[in-house]
Amino acid sequence: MAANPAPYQSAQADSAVSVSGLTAAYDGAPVLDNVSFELGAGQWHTVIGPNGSGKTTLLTILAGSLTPVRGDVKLFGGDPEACRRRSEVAYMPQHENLEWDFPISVWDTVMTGRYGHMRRDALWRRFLPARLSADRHREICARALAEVRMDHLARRPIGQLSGGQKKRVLLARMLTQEAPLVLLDEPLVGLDKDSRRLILDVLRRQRERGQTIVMVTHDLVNTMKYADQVLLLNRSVIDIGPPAEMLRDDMLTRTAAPNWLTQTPAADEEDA
Amino acid sequence: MVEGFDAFSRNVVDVLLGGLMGVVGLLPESIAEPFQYAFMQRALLTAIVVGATCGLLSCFIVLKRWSLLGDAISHAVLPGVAIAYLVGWPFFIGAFITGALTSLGIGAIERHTRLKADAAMGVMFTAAFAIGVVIISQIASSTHLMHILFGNVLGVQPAALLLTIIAGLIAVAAVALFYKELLLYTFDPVQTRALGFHSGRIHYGLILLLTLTIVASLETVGIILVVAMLATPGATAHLLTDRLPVMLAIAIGVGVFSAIIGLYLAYYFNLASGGSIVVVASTLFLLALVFSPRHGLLRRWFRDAAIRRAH
Repeated sequence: MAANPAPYQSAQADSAVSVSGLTAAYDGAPVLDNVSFELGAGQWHTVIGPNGSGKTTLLTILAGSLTPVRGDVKLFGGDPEACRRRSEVAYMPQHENLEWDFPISVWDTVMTGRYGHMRRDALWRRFLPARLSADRHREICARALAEVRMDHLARRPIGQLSGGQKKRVLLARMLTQEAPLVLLDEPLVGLDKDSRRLILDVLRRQRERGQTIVMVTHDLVNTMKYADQVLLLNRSVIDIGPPAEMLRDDMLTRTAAPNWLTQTPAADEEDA
Repeated sequence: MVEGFDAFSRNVVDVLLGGLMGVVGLLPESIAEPFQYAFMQRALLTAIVVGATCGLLSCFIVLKRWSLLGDAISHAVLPGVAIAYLVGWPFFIGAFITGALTSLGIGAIERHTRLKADAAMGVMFTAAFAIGVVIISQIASSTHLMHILFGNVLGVQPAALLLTIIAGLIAVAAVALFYKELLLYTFDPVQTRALGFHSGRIHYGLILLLTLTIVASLETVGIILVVAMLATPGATAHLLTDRLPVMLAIAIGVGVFSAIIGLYLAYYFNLASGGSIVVVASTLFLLALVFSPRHGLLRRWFRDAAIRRAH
């Protein structure tokens, strides 16, 4: 693998995400109610809660595409919009939420992760099409594709990929952004063992390089194994703390999260 | 001032037509024959510009699932045309104002109320269209109304042609300069926000571009049929390729080709020009639908048959 670029600098601030009194609603129905928490920089956080508990809503607020009714969000101690405009926030959606019929190749999809950086290219360069942009962008894109082992499919239209390949493309797109904070919405769901392994390995390396990871998941086994901190969420914060304390049965019952026993053993066998 | 603009546009259009006729002159005489008339020359230039502009925009319309929005804006343009006629302005300006107001209104309702896009459009554009019909029933002659509704490319005046060309140039420049933003916004609006792009500006910018294109196409294909030119070329191209730049090129090609062939048919068989242009575009779509190498019906039929045989 090519040499990794410099580790993430933005860990100067102690907290990556700081949320206070956050309330959000869809069509007047409350989804998040007075949520407050802090997530440390450079750590791996997982958000756990039952369906409809506001996990995805929380991520879309951090990603900037939903405006909360009330409450305050700070990223790295500062204005979240300013952070986003510096491309410091990367978001990996659930893959059902994308238009896979879109006429775009794997390479071009991954390249969109660089668009924020291209906007800051000098003068007229920012208006250039992605394929004419600086070599640096293309090198980063090639490295990300190699890292998720999708480089041989770079020219393939995204509509022809399998579910696991689609996730890996989204992961590569996230990597090209080189953001100090990444938000992942159920990156492990519906994957075979190899793709799952690959995504977790990539995230672990990113974590070692100082990236802050916020991951929504139902996967308790891998949470136990990798997470530094767990946020139990069900419309409001149930509790937040290290996985060993948060993943006890009584805590999970309070969150109404899926229990250890309801996990499918086959999917977790290799990671356990 | 209006007369000054008329004279200016006649000069500009004459220069452009000179260039265009230089190309047409190279063609065999039987093909070039209709273009000895000035009105046919202007019609050809208009048709090419409108076909290309609509084709370009239609890709984003199809991918963003905005075909209905095109329909809505084109209808909303009618009251503007009627009011401009009353006041004596070029109807281009009135059309742009009411079209833009209605489309911004639709966008605002969609973003800020619980109503979904289709309801917002259904209410806004029928209301605007009704106001237009009411005003026109009071003032204008029915032939004028027919030209607005169905277009008459054979009667295009130099001033309107120049405005069409300017609108086309603006659309091309906007797509070229903000290609990355448009691609990102049509593909993944959430990622657009996460990267700190102003998705609201891109959203309304695309709507204004759409309005501009519709208004520019009014005289050629008319209010009713412009939506066909904003959907058919993009839909045809979508069936033929899996790459956006290629899709843009094919859609522009389909738009221009239909406009030229439709114009010929209108000239030789004395047909309504707007209708014949759209009929040609729809025929191309039908061909792509059946014969497209990857997404066509024939290909799908053969593939299914092969799978059935294998089992």
